[in-house]
Amino acid sequence: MRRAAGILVGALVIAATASPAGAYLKLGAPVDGRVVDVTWRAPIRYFVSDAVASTVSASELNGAVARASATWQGVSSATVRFEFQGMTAAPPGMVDGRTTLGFLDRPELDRVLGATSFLIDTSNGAIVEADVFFNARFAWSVSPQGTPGRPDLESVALHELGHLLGLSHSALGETELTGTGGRRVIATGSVMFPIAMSAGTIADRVLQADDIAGISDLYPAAGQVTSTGGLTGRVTKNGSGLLGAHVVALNPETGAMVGNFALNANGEFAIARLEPGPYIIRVEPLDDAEVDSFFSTAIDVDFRVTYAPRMVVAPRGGSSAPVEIKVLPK
Amino acid sequence: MRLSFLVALLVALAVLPVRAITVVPLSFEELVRQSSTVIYARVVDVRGQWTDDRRSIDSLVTVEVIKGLKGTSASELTITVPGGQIGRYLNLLPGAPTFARGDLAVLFLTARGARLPVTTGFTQGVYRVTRDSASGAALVTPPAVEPAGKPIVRGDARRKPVSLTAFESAVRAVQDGAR
Repeated sequence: MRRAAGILVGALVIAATASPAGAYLKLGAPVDGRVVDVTWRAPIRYFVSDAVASTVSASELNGAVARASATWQGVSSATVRFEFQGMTAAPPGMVDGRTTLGFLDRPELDRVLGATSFLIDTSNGAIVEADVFFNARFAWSVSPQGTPGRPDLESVALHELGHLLGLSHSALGETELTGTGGRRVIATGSVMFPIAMSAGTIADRVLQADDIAGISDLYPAAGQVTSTGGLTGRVTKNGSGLLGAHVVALNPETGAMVGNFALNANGEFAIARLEPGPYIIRVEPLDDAEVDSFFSTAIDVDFRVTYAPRMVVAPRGGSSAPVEIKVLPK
Repeated sequence: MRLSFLVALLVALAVLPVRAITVVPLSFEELVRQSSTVIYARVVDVRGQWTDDRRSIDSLVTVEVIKGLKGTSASELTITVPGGQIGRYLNLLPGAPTFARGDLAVLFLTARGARLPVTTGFTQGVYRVTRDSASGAALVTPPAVEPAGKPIVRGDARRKPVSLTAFESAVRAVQDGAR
């Protein structure tokens, strides 16, 4: 076991030990010395807290959560089920055996719009319960068109429900500095990108290829495994594996992008549930982000963007032969 | 031929719709100014505990202060981070900062009255410190510095890990500017 109490690591530290046989940055929990995916073995039965925020009622919250859950359920290549159980006076974050979503006032987390937590029995990897809170410190929008200056509740719910389903963060996103020195998201390729962008947009209500590949990998619908393909390989620097390198697969025909990381000390990566066909593979350092949003350990980000020397084919029903991508220090 | 691949990638990147998510970014200046304490520290202990209201599990992270950069002269501090483990039960928070004994980091901390401090801005207040493989020098990846409105490009050769000393200077420069 890599860490004593800090094992929540599970989250991302799929890293050091696990083989990247699956794919995608998924949540993991330590069970018997190995890391297992955090997934639900039955429909997600959830409650919605009746606490309100300054600009949103409990029924409006319920509606936003229902729309977000319907979006995940609508992924035809995955089998995802949510079942609303009713409203509750209990807040999220309470260990009560229930999965609850709702508002909480968390002033100490004044930069966090929302967060998901799991209680996991590490003797068998089972999810005891999970909760999602939306920070009542913010003035939220539930308007169909969005509200200038306010974060969109449905968009953030979609992101948090992605975590609830077992997805971790995606690094498919691009930012720029603002005039005040802060950062603004200018584009992403995934709902699971961790940084908020300018409030007011509602473009975040739509899943992208990266999200769909991830959820399809966790909960594959019938035929998914045989109808999709995968890419495997290894990222090296100075002859050694490079843990934490971000690997992006681009389908030049569709423009779809799916990302993952080199998840072990050998620098091995795998990206699954891809449309079969040729892909451009790009490797880049996570040198523009809070690494802790993705990994619970320091990673090497001192290398240049590098492309695989050739396109790599994701074969239907299988994975590519491993491709080695050698990166150079900056 | 390879050029056309790159063009395709750039085009794909350019047409991505804008989208959001959960953490609201702080500027580096805000990070320094909003933090009551900034330290270069080594984690010496991590243990899970039930929160005061017994509703959830957090972690107490005790650090040895190697160098105080702002707001403290203590040799040891304890902070809390969300999530942790007690016995067989693990409280897991995707995207939350986590620590293990021996971790080195510059930590930006927010005081909460009588309660233990937390990292400022969730993960934004954690700058991991690595060691240069050749020299053994302590290195930190600095925040991006670009003109406003210009995308931050991953892998930019100008953005290299800097020495801990240089990073300290950047922290102090913000403090000095605030005086």
